[in-house]
Amino acid sequence: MYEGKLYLGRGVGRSLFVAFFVVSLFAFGSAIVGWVGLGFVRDAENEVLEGVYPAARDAQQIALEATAFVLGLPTLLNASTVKELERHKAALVRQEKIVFDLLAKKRKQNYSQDIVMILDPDIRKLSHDFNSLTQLSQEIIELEDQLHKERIVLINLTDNVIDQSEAELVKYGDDVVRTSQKFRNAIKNGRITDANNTFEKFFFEDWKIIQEIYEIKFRAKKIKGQFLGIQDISRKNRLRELQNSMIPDLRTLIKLLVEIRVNDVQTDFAKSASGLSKSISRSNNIFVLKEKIIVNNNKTETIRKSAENTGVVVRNSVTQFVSDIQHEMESKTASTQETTSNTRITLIFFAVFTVISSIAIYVVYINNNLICRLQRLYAATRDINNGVLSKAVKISKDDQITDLEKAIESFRINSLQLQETEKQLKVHTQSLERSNRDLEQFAYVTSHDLRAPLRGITSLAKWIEEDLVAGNMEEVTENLARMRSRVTRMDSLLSGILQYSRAGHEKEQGLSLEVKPIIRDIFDDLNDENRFSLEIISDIDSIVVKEAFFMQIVGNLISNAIKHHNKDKGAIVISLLKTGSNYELRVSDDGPGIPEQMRERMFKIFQTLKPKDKLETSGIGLSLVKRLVDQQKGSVEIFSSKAGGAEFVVTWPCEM
Amino acid sequence: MTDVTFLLVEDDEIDIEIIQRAFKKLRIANPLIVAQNGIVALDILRGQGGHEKLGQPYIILLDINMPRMSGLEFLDTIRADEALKRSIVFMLTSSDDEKDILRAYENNIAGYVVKSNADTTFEDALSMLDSYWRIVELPPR
Repeated sequence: MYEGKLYLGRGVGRSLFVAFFVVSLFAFGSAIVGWVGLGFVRDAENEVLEGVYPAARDAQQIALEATAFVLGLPTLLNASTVKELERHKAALVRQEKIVFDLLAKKRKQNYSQDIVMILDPDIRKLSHDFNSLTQLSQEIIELEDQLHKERIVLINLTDNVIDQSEAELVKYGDDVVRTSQKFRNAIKNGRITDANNTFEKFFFEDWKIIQEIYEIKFRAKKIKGQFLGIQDISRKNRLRELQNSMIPDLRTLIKLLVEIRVNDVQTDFAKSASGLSKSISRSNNIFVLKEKIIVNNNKTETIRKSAENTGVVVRNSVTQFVSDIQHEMESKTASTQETTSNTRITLIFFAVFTVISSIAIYVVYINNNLICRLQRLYAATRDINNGVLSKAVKISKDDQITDLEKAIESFRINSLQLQETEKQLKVHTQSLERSNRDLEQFAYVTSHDLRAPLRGITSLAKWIEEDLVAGNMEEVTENLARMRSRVTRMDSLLSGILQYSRAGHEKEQGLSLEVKPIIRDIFDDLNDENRFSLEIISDIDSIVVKEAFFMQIVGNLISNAIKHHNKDKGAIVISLLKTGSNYELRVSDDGPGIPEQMRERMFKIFQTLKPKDKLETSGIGLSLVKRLVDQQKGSVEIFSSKAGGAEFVVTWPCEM
Repeated sequence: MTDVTFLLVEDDEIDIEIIQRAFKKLRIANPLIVAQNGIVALDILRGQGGHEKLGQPYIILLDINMPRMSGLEFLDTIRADEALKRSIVFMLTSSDDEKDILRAYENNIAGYVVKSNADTTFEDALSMLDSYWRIVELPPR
């Protein structure tokens, strides 16, 4: 019925509860500290894993993609056809989208917003550059196309001129041959005038024309070369130079073509000249085209370079960003580590404190207040269990254990009382047992010793009867006397038995008796034949003692000494001393003494040394003395006297 | 065969006379020696203390209640004595106490006879003894 009840009221229960509560508070505190610290660490971890690291990673990816984009831009410039341009553009658009998507993704995330903000304008710039480049490339392609066409035209024209010139020159070559032949002939023939005319015609007409044609061919070739060379010009000033050198040449050529008077080729030349002139004078002439192309190329180059730079800037920004983020991570890690160590220290502190406080509580309170007292109680209970009841149970403090202590103390007292009672019971039992033994012995001996005389009487009666019948009177008288003596013996035995059984039961107080006179009286009474002398040694005048006790003891001992003496005369010495809290009575004689092996049985009732026919004694005396002495818790012993006889020493306590 | 001597160890004079009369009546002529207690009986058996040594064969008739040395003590003593331990002993005692009977038989007595008041002549017992020594083989010397 005590289980399940909650004892918080007083004493042990409350104290233990408080102690446990305090300790568990500390433990709880440790847990909280751990929790919080762990929280910090986890937050930091999360930051790194979900914030910082992805930001760095993604920023680097942006840089990568942006760089790819930048590297892809020149492909626009390499495109020679619109189709190719479209293809490259498409690829770059995809790449651009990748970059923008990345940016868009990171714009919303922590840690990346900054870098996105930084990269945004650069990426936009790249985008813009991309558009510009696309546009420019497109323009360049168109211009190249136009240039190409124009060049073809111009080269065709010049080729025509050259061809025609060569053809004419061939023709004129023939003419020259004929003319020279004619000249030679003329000369040969003496036709100086013919020769002169021929020469004049040749020199002033043909030769002039040949020269003109040669010059045309020469200029046409030169111009063709220059037209071809336009292809390779990349710089505006060089173009200008060429232009400046070609325009006069062209003009000259055109002029020559126009002014030449050669019937065959005049028209053609005029056409060519017209064509050339038209081409040159167009607003979109080859030079203009080429200039535009050059300008565009320069622009694209600029833009390309700028894009490259932007790419570098982007990469640098990202690198910086990553580095910053790394630093932040490091510092975060450092602070996390610091937090961790702080947490650890705090935790250890709490834990150590918990342990210390537990130990302290145990030592100071539990051990002293509970364990020690319980141990004491255990020892006390064990002692009580083993019968050691002398030590009182210590009562300490005022709690449930105190109640227990009080209970066990009262139990000890009860046990003590019980022990006492048991002791007394034992004493009583022992004395009862002794009485029973005595009684048995008594009954045994009595029945035997009483039967013997009866047997004797029966036999004697029988013999007397036989003798009377036979008329034999010799022994009759004697037998009758023997009969009588046996009757007397029985009577004295019965008296002795009575006396023995009555011994010590008289309710009497101790009287003050005068020692020497009383002893003397008893002695005189027994010493009727006057064969003995008595010496009394005592410095005690009177003692307080039960009269019957004293007189029966003295009487029996003196009577024994007298009865068992073996000589005519004897000396008896009686001494009475006080030793400590006892009286000591010594009765010694100079008789035959008592052998050692006989001494113990002397005190048995009816024991005699000699047969009853030799010495009429009841055998009661010493057993009576022993009984009286035992009743008073004294003792009686037999020794040998100095005179060679027996010495009886009786001791009994003074307080009776 | 030589006549057996009877050693009667008894202290009561009437009891002694009863035995003597019975011997006469039964005409048992065997010698009857009386010792009045165990000590004297030992002296007689050993030939000490001024007594002549009792010669074989003999039968001991033993009472229990005697001064100085009781019959049972005497019995213990002779059973412990190398020369005397084979002695034939009959208990002749008034004690019918079981303890005494047991103790006597533990010492290998030949028989236990209780002196009752009725049979005061002991005649039956003695005639039994007379037949006993004649019939039974006694231990050799």
